[in-house]
Amino acid sequence: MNNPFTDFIIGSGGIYTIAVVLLLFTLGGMTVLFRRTLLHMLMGVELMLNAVNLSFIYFSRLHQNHDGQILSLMIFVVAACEVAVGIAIIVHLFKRTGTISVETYTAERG
Amino acid sequence: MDFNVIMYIFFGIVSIAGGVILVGAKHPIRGAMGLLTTMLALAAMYAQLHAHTIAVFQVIIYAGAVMVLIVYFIMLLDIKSEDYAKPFSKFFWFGAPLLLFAVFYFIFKLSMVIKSDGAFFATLNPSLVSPNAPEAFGGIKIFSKELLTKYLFAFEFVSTLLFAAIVAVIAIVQLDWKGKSNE
Repeated sequence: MNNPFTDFIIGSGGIYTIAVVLLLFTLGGMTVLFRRTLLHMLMGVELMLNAVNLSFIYFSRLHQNHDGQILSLMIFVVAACEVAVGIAIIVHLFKRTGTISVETYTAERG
Repeated sequence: MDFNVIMYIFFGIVSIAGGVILVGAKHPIRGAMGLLTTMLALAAMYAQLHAHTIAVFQVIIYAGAVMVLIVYFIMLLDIKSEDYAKPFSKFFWFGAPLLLFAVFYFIFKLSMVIKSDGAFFATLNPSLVSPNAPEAFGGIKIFSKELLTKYLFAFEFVSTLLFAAIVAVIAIVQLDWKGKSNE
């Protein structure tokens, strides 16, 4: 009631933040689904994780509770692991086939 | 309008613009720059939401370490340009508008529900949401105190995950070495 930014966060800022989160998540999902290079797909997953982090931190601010922030820190670690393993796999596949286009690997589906 | 509110909205738009660049860019290095824009804008939003520690970690870990790793490997792989001749899958022009329509419809419905239900977020106690000093919420001291007492198990468990990732990477690299020796 005293701080306009706090009023914004409780009021219309909530739907704005959720809209940003949903749009970022959808853009990341579109990158994973519709791009044909492995590096782009990896970056799309990163974008999706980032979008989820924003919603965690928004709700943690709303409830003045550290749980969401600590959960988003755990997501940082998971994302770092995922990038390390993902890039190792991409480099391995690139050395084997000489391309990172996903259509090269359609023969490997189960 | 308050300056903080304007900056919050501005950084939200910048982060979405970075995501659009990531989806649309032909070359991965442009997509990586778009992702970097998104991450820095999100760090600014975190700082405005009183998550100072997470904002710093976002800049150091994501924008620093992870993006440098990705950009370094884009440079190292030196991919031929015929991989980018057709960057989108054939479902893009059908699927992307469908997904975007679904999301905008969901946001519209959500805003309708929140408006008709008498401001869902306003039912929270305003004194609970009052602006706090970093010492009381989100600062490094109180954050690490919570992390190392209440969430000690999660903290240690996640370090196990890091260790497992190191083992996995070494296993994949060894696969490469063995493949070479067989040839």
